[in-house]
Amino acid sequence: MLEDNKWFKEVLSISGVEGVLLTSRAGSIIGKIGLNFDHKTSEQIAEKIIRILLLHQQTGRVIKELEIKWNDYNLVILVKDGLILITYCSQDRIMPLLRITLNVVLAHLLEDKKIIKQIKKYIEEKSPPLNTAQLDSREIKLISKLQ
Amino acid sequence: MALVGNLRDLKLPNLIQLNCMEKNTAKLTIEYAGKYGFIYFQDGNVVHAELDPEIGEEALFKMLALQEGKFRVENDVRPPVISINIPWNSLLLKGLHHLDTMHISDESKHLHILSMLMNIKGVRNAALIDTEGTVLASNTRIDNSSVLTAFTFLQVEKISTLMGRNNPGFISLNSNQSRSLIAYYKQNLVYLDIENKYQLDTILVLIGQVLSV
Repeated sequence: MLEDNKWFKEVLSISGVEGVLLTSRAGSIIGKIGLNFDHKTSEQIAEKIIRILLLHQQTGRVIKELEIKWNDYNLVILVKDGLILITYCSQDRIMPLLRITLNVVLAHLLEDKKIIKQIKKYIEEKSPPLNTAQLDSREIKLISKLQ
Repeated sequence: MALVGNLRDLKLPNLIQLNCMEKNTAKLTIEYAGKYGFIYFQDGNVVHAELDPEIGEEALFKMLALQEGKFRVENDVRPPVISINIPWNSLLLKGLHHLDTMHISDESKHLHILSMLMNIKGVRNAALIDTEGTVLASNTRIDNSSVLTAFTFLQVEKISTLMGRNNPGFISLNSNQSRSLIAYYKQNLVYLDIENKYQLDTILVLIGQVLSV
């Protein structure tokens, strides 16, 4: 885990940021900081995000940013080269600054040898999150409608 | 020469007024959401309207709800049939009153909300989709995007549950080619294709205003 990573800490130091989660595209948690969720919940959140990314990818659309906005809360998800950076933020007004910072941080993380090593380790480890055995009937029905 | 334009720039009541005051005999074609509507003028009166499956006043009233859509006026085209028999100014008043007070069908409501969304600068395409991925109204064909929208929302619903939150206001997806937005709206989903050059935060405020009406 990478709780001591200086880039993680940099993001967490932004006012309003409550936590950061870094996962591989296979859904394995590489690092997290400042989050109250247990490991299993973090994995489940990452899994749902990866399902969204994979289904879009299947139709030829490669998602590089995903944002989920509640009234008073935001999830900002950046995707690049096998890494998914998920940031939990409770302030709307810092979003433009946060987006810029996250892009810089993700670029630095991708240069970190320790992280690259971990991504490689996780690549084949887990079953793909779009495996129908793991999906419920509504999800399967929706996927079957894709042309 | 035919007059062509968009209802964004010239509203339908004004277009009707213009043709009637000039005592035109003409055919007005409106293209919206893959559908065609027709209004016929004869000697300065509206005498026939069609918007599948409606004919006559009902068809015209539905078209009056449109805020967006390409139109074309061809002069000297005669109506195939007469389905409207009241003077144009009474008809227009009746139609506008109808819009304010009538029980608007779901389809009209969908078209109306879509029109308002399409009026927002930066919105390229818009669609209203149910949570099963079926398109209820759309300004263009969106193919797989309807299913992707429903699937994305389903996953985000699950994320919200895991985080102990209600459904989110917006989901924004950005790829190299495009940006799309998903919003929950009265048990259904709104899908918007947004031009990349516009600031997300600015556009969200405007969309929020339309959806809260």
